[in-house]
Amino acid sequence: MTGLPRFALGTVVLTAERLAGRTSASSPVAIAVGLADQGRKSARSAAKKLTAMRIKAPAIDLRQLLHDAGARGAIAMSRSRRDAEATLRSVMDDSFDWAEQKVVPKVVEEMMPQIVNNIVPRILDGVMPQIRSKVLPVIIDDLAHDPNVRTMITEQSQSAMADATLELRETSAEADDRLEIAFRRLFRSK
Amino acid sequence: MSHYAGVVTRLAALVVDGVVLSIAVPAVANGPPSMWASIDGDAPGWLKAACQFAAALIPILYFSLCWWATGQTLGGLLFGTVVRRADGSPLTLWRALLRAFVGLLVPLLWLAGLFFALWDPKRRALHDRLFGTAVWYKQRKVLAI
Repeated sequence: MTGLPRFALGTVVLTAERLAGRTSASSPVAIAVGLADQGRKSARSAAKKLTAMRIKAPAIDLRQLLHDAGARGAIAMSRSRRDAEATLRSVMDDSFDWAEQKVVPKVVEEMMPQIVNNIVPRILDGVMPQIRSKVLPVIIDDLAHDPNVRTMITEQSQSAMADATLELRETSAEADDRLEIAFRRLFRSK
Repeated sequence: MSHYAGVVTRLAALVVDGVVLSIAVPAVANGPPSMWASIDGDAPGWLKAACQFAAALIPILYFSLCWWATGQTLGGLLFGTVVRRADGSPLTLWRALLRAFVGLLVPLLWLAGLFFALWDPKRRALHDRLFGTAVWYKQRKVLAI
């Protein structure tokens, strides 16, 4: 089985698997598919042989025939399913890539002015008063009473004071050194 | 880089101490009598006298107790300087008291004596030589030790 029929069968098998689970080799569907495939091949082979030479047809063992047909059908369905899955996946990937590269940027680009100029201002006009009157006071209240925030502010203030003190000390120490150097130069020159 | 505090740092620390005392002394001298006056009319003489006396003691107590206890006044704390004996040991109470008393008795001489630090290898002022003390940068002293 090749080409479009195989793809169609694979798609049907995938769908059936989604709905009813995996098909086994002993299932009627597999046997039917196998019989169809086997019949098609047998008919083609027989037609060839009949045209080439006249051979007597062998006796048919029904049990063996059904077993062979089931195995053949399962293989055919498995191959078809695999091929269909690969094809569908490829189609989906290509579609997503195409949408991502071509459609989405264009849509976003065309929608952005509309969003910025019309939708966002309307949302803000509607939402901001609510945020100001209801949300912000709660957040500020929470922050003001949060011990972690208080600790952080205290630590930052202490750190800033420590930095300023260190700077002051370094500056005054440098001034000490400079004054002393200048004083010594003055008296050495005299 | 010297471990001893120079003239600029010591003068700056002294200015800070001066500011602290200029707030504390009037507050002690006038605060309680003013509170008394606001509650019950004019403050009694004994309270005014006691407050004046306490205010007069504040500078000497401030300097001597700070130098004795930690070696640092508020100015010294801000500028990271500490008063110690020349060998690095803490001042005794008597030595601190005497150093403060002389400094407050002759402040101009005290200030002029600071400039002796400019040519002293250990940056000792006149009163430091007199009382066997030195003023260190606390951080550099710790690092040196």
